[in-house]
Amino acid sequence: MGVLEIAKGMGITLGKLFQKPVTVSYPEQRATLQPRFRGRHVLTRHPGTNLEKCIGCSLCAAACPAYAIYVEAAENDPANPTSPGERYASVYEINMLRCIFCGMCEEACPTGAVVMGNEFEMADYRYGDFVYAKEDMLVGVEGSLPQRREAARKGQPVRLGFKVEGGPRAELEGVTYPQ
Amino acid sequence: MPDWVIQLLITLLKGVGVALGLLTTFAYMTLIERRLLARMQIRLGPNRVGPMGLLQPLADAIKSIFKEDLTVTLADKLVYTLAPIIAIGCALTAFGGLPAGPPGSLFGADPWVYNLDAGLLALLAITSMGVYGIFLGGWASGSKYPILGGLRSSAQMISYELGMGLSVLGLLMLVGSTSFHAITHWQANNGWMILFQLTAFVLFLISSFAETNRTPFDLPEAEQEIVAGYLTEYSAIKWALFQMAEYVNMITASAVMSTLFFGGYRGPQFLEGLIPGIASWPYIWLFAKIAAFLFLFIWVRATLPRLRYDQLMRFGWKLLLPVALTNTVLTAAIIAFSTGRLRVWLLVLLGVAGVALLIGFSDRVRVLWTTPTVRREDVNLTPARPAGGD
Amino acid sequence: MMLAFIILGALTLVGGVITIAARNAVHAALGLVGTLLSVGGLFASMNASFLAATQVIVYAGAIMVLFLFVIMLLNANQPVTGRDPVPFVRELAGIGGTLLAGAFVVLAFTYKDPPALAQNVAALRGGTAGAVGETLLTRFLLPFEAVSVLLLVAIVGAVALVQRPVPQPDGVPDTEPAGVLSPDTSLVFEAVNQEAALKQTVLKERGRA
Repeated sequence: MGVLEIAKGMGITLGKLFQKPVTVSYPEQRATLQPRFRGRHVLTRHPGTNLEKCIGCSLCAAACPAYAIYVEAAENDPANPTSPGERYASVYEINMLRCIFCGMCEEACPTGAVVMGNEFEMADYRYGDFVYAKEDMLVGVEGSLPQRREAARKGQPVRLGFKVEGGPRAELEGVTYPQ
Repeated sequence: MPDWVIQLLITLLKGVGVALGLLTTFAYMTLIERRLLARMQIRLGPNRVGPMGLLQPLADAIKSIFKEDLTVTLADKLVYTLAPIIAIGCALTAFGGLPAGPPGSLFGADPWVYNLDAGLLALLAITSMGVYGIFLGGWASGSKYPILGGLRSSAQMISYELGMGLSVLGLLMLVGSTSFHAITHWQANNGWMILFQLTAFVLFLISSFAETNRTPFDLPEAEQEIVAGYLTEYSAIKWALFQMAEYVNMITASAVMSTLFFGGYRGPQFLEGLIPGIASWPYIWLFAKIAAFLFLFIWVRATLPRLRYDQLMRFGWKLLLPVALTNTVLTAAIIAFSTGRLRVWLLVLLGVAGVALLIGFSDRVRVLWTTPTVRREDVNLTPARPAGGD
Repeated sequence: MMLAFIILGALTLVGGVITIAARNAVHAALGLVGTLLSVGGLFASMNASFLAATQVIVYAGAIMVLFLFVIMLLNANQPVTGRDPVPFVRELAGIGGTLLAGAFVVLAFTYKDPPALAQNVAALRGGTAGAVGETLLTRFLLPFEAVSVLLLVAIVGAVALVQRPVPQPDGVPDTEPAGVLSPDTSLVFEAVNQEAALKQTVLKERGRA
């Protein structure tokens, strides 16, 4: 009966009226991400020695399909090494405007130094500000460039707009995201 | 000051008051509609401007006024400007004849702007002039989609105006007057009209949806087919005026349905026992009924998909019109050949039986508007022009 | 009242002039709408609100919308240029118009209420629906019915003009698959298909020739 089906439909919409909306009020509420989400890269360190895993081999730059990574290697100072091997990356830059977040760098990395994190809030105003240097991506740096700039201006800690369901992946050693 | 000047001033004041009230209601209707639609789709809706989004209408108004007012080169300038004014003018005028309370309840003045003997007819006349707004707007835009929207709207309005007018004929025969006051009084004495004219109410409701261009009859502005219909080339304040006209028409239709079928400005009589005099409190009853109907408009919009255009036409002509006509004839027969309690019971029976039959046969009669009347002579004919366009 | 009459009368005339003088068909139709509305206003100013409402609903609201509909549908709103095909049209129209205007002037100055009409006017006082209906269906029943027959003739004529002498079977419902047609419908389809095939062959032969 056609009319009854209309009535059924009307009943459904009326019922939904009293249901809690599924909308996440994003900046105020944290959006939920899955751990496998590929966001801003993280340069990890060895847990015990706190040395950088990156040895400046440039395999990530070679693997990058978008030519977004630039690496310059330098010899380690034997007295005060930056990384466990002979060399370390003295310059490690990723242009986040070129990056397509495919994760090839992560797969190419022989030491598991570069890992895709979960951060995605990187909107900024100037092209130059999208080139993330080593100090913007090392473990322990929380938030993107604009987020940290904003936090410094306001004198408040960086607030990430997302949470990761079940916590970050195991590869992201030492990284903490809100759950 | 002579007496007539004072009367004129009072009427003017009331008119301005009604217009302001309607426009404020329109502004907040847009917000309420968007919020309710959002909630029905399990979303939140606009909530960024002001607390709970309460200043959203203000933001919209500011945007509409300060946006660039575009005019298409091919547009007929005079008619292009005139069209939204006609639309909003007719929409606002139509509401003024509806009584919002008993005589003298507006600080000693009467709570209506004008009072014509031909109340309902005058209202139908004014709303039928409102078509010109949409129609001329569509034509004057000098563009393809607007003219399609305009043509659709005019054909739709004419078709459903018939059903609308015919469906209330039985009611008018019962009351014996077209004046809204007489109708309200009759209902105060005999009970709400929906008890006696249930079928008529259903028909009137459907026609109202079509007359106000609301879903599922919003074909003049069907965005999947003809962009925004007659609104395509309009922007800024002219566009806002069209929107205003649509919402004001919706409010007017709600008020008319409340007045004709739900006792108008009078509350339900059985509440008199609890609080004496509550049924004749002015305003609140009419406003509550209008609000209920407006909610219905939004609710239906959230639920039903749009009809196809040929289905719309066939629905109007093949179902609505004959049923309204039958209802009118049967009501007339009952009024002519019965009296007293028998007449009341027959009318109730007619209403209930009509609606029950419509619901029961809703699958059978659906063929009426889903069956296309195709001329088969055109099938399998080679096109006169080579394929591929010119 | 007099002021209202003068204003509305002037508007009526202006609308009429626009109707015949406007180059654009839509503007002309709008002029006519203005005239009809002003006439409705004239009725209203004489307290005949029923007549006024009917005038607006029927003429301005329905008939003129159809007029405009056809004008827009046929895209007939281009200004008419060129010469009249019939000779002496302008002259004849001028003479006719003058005669008509003269007749109206004579009528206006010599018109006296016939008593019967005066009675009816009295009965129509107030112009309510009841009085109008009663007068129409008693005293003027014959003209009223004659007019309705005239309209019927017009409808039949219109249908006869657009009717094409080809069988027009009602289509199939949207939901129904094509295979389950009733036998007589499929017969008609066959006939139509044959005709179409014939047309195609004729077209092909023409193409060859």
